[in-house]
Amino acid sequence: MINRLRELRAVRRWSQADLADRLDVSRQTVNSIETGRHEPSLSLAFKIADVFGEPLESLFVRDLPTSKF
Amino acid sequence: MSQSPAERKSVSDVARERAATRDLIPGLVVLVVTQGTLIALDPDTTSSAWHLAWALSPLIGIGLLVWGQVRILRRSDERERLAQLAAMAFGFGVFAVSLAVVGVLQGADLGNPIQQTQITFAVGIVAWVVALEVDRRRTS
Repeated sequence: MINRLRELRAVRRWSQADLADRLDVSRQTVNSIETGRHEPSLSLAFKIADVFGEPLESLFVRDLPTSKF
Repeated sequence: MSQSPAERKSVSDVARERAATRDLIPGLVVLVVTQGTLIALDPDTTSSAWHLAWALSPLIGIGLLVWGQVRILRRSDERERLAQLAAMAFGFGVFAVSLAVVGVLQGADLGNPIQQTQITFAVGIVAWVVALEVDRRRTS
């Protein structure tokens, strides 16, 4: 899953901690989502969409696996 | 020493850390006091039921620590809870392997069983803490 969190956060000049404050999660959680280490639950994903005022489908894009053959 | 804005903890981080400290302190205090008195006074636990209860008293502290840990887990956000549970699972895996090693050693009549049991427990806890620290560094 690819997401635009870092990009949208940079536009608003928010630090990871600023976004974490708005989402009521830890800064490490924001970092993990941005770097793709953690895929958020649906409820957290909706919360992220609310915070940025963007539709969910514009925040998270499916990362299609490349063929091994 | 103040943190840079990029490294600043979130408000919920700070609140959770404070609450975790509050939850763990009673168990730690009880454990240190009960274990300390046991080591300092070394009661004969076979002489009476009272002495047996005294010998088991550190379990009260351990119980409070478990209760505190459950509260920490409930308070964590979804990724933290996942990291905590993964670290616990890793610690338990290390504990199980250590226990197998102790079993082999005791089967061969090597070492002190009491010390080996305590070391096994400590190794499991250390593995849990190390796994949490590795996760913290990876996500910082």
